[in-house]
Formats: sequence, C-alpha cells, structure tokens
Amino acid sequence: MAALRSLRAESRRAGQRASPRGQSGRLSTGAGRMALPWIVPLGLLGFWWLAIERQWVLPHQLPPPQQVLDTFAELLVRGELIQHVTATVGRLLTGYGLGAAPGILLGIMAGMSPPFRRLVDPTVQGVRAVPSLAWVPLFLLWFGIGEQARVLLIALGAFLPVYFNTVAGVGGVDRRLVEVGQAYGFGGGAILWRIVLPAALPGIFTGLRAGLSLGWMFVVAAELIAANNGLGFLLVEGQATMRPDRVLASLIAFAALGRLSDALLEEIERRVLHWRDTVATAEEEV
Amino acid sequence: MSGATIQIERVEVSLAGHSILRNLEFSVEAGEFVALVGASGTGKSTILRVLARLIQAGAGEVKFHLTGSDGPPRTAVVFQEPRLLPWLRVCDNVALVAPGKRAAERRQRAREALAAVGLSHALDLWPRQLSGGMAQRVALARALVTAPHVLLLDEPFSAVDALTRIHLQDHLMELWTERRFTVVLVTHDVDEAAYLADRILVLGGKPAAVQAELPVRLSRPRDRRDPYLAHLRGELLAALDRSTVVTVG
Repeated sequence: MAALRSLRAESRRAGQRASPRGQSGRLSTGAGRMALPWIVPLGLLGFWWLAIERQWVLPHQLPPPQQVLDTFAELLVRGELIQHVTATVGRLLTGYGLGAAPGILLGIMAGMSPPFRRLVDPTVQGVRAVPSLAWVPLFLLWFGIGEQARVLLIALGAFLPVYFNTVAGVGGVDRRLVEVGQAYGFGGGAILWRIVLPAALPGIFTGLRAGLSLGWMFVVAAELIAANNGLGFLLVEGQATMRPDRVLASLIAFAALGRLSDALLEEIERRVLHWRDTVATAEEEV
Repeated sequence: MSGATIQIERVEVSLAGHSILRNLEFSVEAGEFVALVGASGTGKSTILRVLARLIQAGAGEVKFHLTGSDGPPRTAVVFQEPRLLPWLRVCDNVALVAPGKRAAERRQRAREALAAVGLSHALDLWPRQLSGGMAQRVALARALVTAPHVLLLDEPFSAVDALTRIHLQDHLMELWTERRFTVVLVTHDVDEAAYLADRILVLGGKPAAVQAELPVRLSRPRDRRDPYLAHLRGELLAALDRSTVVTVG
C-alpha cells in the first residue's frame, strides 16, 4: 500500500518534471536541459586541465585532474579513505544525535510552555550570539584534545538550528487545530502527540536539515583543530605534507557525503510529510 | 442516542478585560434544537465556546444533565471552518475522535459516520482535496462519530455556497430527526435559524444577554417556502434590530 503510494508519487513527480515542455528556445528541449547542469563543471574541469598544461599553476599547488582521481582511487583501495570516512561519519552522527535530540525536546517544551520559553530562550539566544567556532578553545580546555570535545562541538552546532526551528514550528501550530483536540476531550499528551507534533513536523525537519549542514561544518572544524583521523585530518595532513591531491580527494569525499546525507534526510522528510505533497495529487485521485 | 439538557445560570465571561457576557441565563431541553442569533460581535460564539469548555466562565454555572446517566454527557463541536488535520486522510480524521479501544474499531465507526453524511467514497482522500462543503460534512461526521448528546454548531454553514448550505441544512435535519441529540446552533443567518430550530434566542447588548426568545411553531418536515417562516423572519429581524445597541444604516 505504502509502496504503491510512493510509486504513484514517483510517477507523479516525474510527470510534473516532464510536463512543462518548452515552447521557447532550444535549451528547453530534453537534451538541452539534460546538458545544462554539466556545462559549468565541465568548463571548470577543462580550465583546470588547461591551467596545468600551460603551466599557469605549479603542480604542487594544483595537481592535474587525473592525479587527484588516482589519489582518490588509491586512498579508496588501500582502505585509508574508508577509515577516515568512518571516523568522520561516526563523529558526526554521535554529535548530531546528541545535539538534535535535546534540540527537539527543549524546542517542544519551549514552544508549548511560555514560562519555560522565557526561562531557557534568553540563554540559548546568548549561546547563539557567540560565533560557534569561538567555543573551540573552551571545549579543548574543558574536555581535552579528545573525542569528547569534538563530538560536543558538533552537538552544539546541531542543537541550535534544531532548537530554534522546533520552537518556531511548535509555536506556529494553528490554535484552531489544537482547539479541535480540546473540544473532543483530548488530554495534554494526546494533543501534543496527535496534533501539535504532526503540525510542527515541517518546522522540525527544517531544523534537522539545517542542523545537519552545521554538523558537517563543525565536524570539519573539530578535525582541523584536533584529530588524528577523519576527513578533516586528511585535509590538514595533505596541507602539511604539501599534497594538494589528498586535500582535493578529501574535499570530494566531503561533497559526496554531505550531498548524500542531505538527500537521505530529504527523502525521509518527503515520506513523513507526504501529505504536504502539493496540488498534483488532487486531480489524480478525485 | 438521546440528548442532554443544558442549563446556563448567570454566566459571565470577560476576555482581555472586556465583559463579553453578563448574567446569561437560558436552558435547553433534551433533544431540543436551539438557535442563537445576534449581530456579529455579540458573543454568540463565546457562549458556544463556554459550552464546549474551550473557555472558562468567570462566574455562573453551565450544567449538563443526561437522564439515566451520572457521567457527563458527550459534546461535539462543528466550527465555522472544517478544521480537519491536513496530515490525516478523511477516514483517519474522523477515526481520531471515534470511541473504541482498537484502531480497527475506531476506523469502522468512522466509516459508518462518513457513510451517514454521504461520504463513503471519500474515505481515502486528503483534506486538501475536498471542496468546502465536503470538508464541512467530514467535520460533521467527526462530530457524529462520538455519538454526542449535545452537538454544538458554530456558524457551520456560513463559509459554503448557498446551494451546498441548503443541502447541508437538510442533511443535518435528517440526522437530528433520527438521533435526537440536543443542538445549539450559533448563526447570523435568520433563515437558517428559523428553518432548523425549535426555538430561537436573540442575543444582544454589551455585555450580551438574551434579548428575546421566539419559539418556531412549525411541524417537521418543514418547507422552506412556508409563509410562516417569512413571517418569523420579519419578527426575528425586528427583534435583532431592537437588540442591537449601536446600529449603523
């Protein structure tokens, strides 16, 4: 049933994408539109190759594309990359979990209860006012140069957007829907679980996605400063050993992981919030 | 199913420092259909919200009584807007408030309630796919699924088009005739009040109180073209005129 529904949603979106076929210009034809996103990256790649060919840059500043690819493959084959990725992702997930969970919890409490909000909100606002990386020295002093400091830094980064978006999401729930629960004799728990939370979910997801992207930022910061493994460490090490190919390989891994994690969260969001799927469904099912 | 009696005694409500209702008194018999009419801003909806326990009266008492039962009677509300939860399909919106321990049981009751309002074909639709009239019928089914002793209606048909409104009114009439719950209908539509109610209370003044009471002496089923209704309409408008402290135009 669910699978069928998602299948239908799939075809619907495919249909949507295809339907506004162009009447204007060549670029709106199928092939033209397929090519459009590749023009800039391919152009950059060509320019990169040209810059090295013509010796505009030195190889120790920018290695040729082929070498970066080779280094990437080598890191992959030797298992080095997996090791760094595992370290980074493990850190990110631990920190993200430690930040997002209390972010949602406190956000719901602050959103539901104005007194509680007055109690904690000014403090959280104050924490937010500090540029996040400024906490690094303090965290290192408190927790030492270890896994704890890194994970907590990531947790702090993830916490803030999750908290603020959850507060906004819960605070923005339509009063009139809450009244329905009250009018039908729901208790506080049922109102929270059946009405407030589902209504606040879009906001919570916005926070989760913003928190994830900040989590990536902080995992890099944490690993740049103090780590002996992880993709961030690979960056620093590449810089120290004058290996731009390793730096670039690390950047590629970051890009791929960042995109993948966001796409994953986006897919979860789409499934959880499928009821929000816009107008397209109406015509089909009525 | 049967209706409960309602007794409102010296009820006072103030909102944000303004006295909305003062010394409000009236009662509704079991199974009676009472309409509250009044100009906008007279506090009609406030009375309904007090009855629905959405706001607390500052003073006075609201008593519900159900013959042959000690427990509090069940009340259900239909608001001016359907207020369906957009993340639940039609059937689940109704099942949400349905009585029953098991989900399957609640869904079964929801299906029955939706069938009663003629929406058996719409069970799996999303609220955003419904027309205004359909959505309001789902809201009515949601109220009926709780098997209410008291049905509170807050201008439930004011946001739908005229033809749909007539259908919905007739439909409500059928359901009420069949089940005899007590109804309190808040409306600013005098024709609606006259066509549906056993008794009409005209509210007015600031703070609001019952200014006039008109029984509707017309047997059912009623005919919308009955000359008595036209006559009653005139009386109602006159009563409304008298009850409005500040009239413009």
